Amino acid sequence: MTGVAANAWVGELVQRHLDAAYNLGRWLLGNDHDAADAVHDAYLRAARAAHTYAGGNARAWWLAIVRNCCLAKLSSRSRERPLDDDAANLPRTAANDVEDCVDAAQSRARIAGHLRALPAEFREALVLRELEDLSYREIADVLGVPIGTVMSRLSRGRALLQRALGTDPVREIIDGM
Amino acid sequence: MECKNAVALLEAYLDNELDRAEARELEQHVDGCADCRAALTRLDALRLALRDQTLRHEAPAALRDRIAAAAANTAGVAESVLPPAARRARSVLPAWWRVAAACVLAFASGAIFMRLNSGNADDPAALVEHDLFASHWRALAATSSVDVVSSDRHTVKPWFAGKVAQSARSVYRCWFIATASI
Repeated sequence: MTGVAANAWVGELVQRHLDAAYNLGRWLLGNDHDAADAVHDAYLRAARAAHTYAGGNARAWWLAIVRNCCLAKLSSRSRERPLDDDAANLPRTAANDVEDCVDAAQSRARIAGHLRALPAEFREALVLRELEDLSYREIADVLGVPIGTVMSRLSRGRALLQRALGTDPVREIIDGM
Repeated sequence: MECKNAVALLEAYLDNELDRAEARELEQHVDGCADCRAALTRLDALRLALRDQTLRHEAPAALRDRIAAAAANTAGVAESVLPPAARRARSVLPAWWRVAAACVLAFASGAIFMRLNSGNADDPAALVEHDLFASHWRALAATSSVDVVSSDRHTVKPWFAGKVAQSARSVYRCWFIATASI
């Protein structure tokens, strides 16, 4: 690939999977600003490293770069900085404003909260599997681990989520209103 | 399949990662096992809850624009920093490709021509073989199977009509040849 062709290819790839990249960054980093920065860094890194792409799944290659940039950002930012509160962590949708959707919004907030509370290794596997619909093979490529590890992380993450959602009393939500 | 094995496969089943045989085997087990069915239902509920697309954060337009601008920028730089020789080489490339493509096309069409002519069209045995094979495929594609239970040729002959290209007589002959050779 020539430099120009590689740049065009990366640009196209990144735009096509920008939502996936941002979503992964957002769930790993916990706020809009850091996620956008990490994805932008990832684009620059991908454009520089385009010639090293050795075939295979391009989306997994791109998301692996995004993840590396997110991890770099995570380790660089101060540990004291708290995560944003729950409301700010939910994606903005029209449904949030509609009263009929209060129940749905609440259960969404619960799930989002528990997902965010998961250890990062389980969270990222679940985000890639359920929200981005990646196969085990693709997730293994993004995370750089064997497929067996992907399966055990997904399984562990789901078990933790189920337990958290199961023990989460409904009363708590009603009281919180 | 035992429960112990089934439980380990439930998630892979929902994730579409089992092959068809494994999935079938698991479904059979789940049909007869209330515990596994309940576990599958719980997992599916969690899966549906997580797949709520409102949990997915979409990239803000500002980020999209920022990356598009950066891409346009690097593309422009890359184009302008190419030395004149490289630019000339790029413009020469298509002419070279045209010659290569012409060679490949000539070879390919020659090969196809040779192949078409190499088959002996006059050999009746080859023709029968070809037609018989084609008829066999057609018969397989038809909804009815290749069975007709009758020794009466007034029943057999119309049944063959439209199913095979050969007349019933030559099909009989082929059938005899086939059974004799078995």
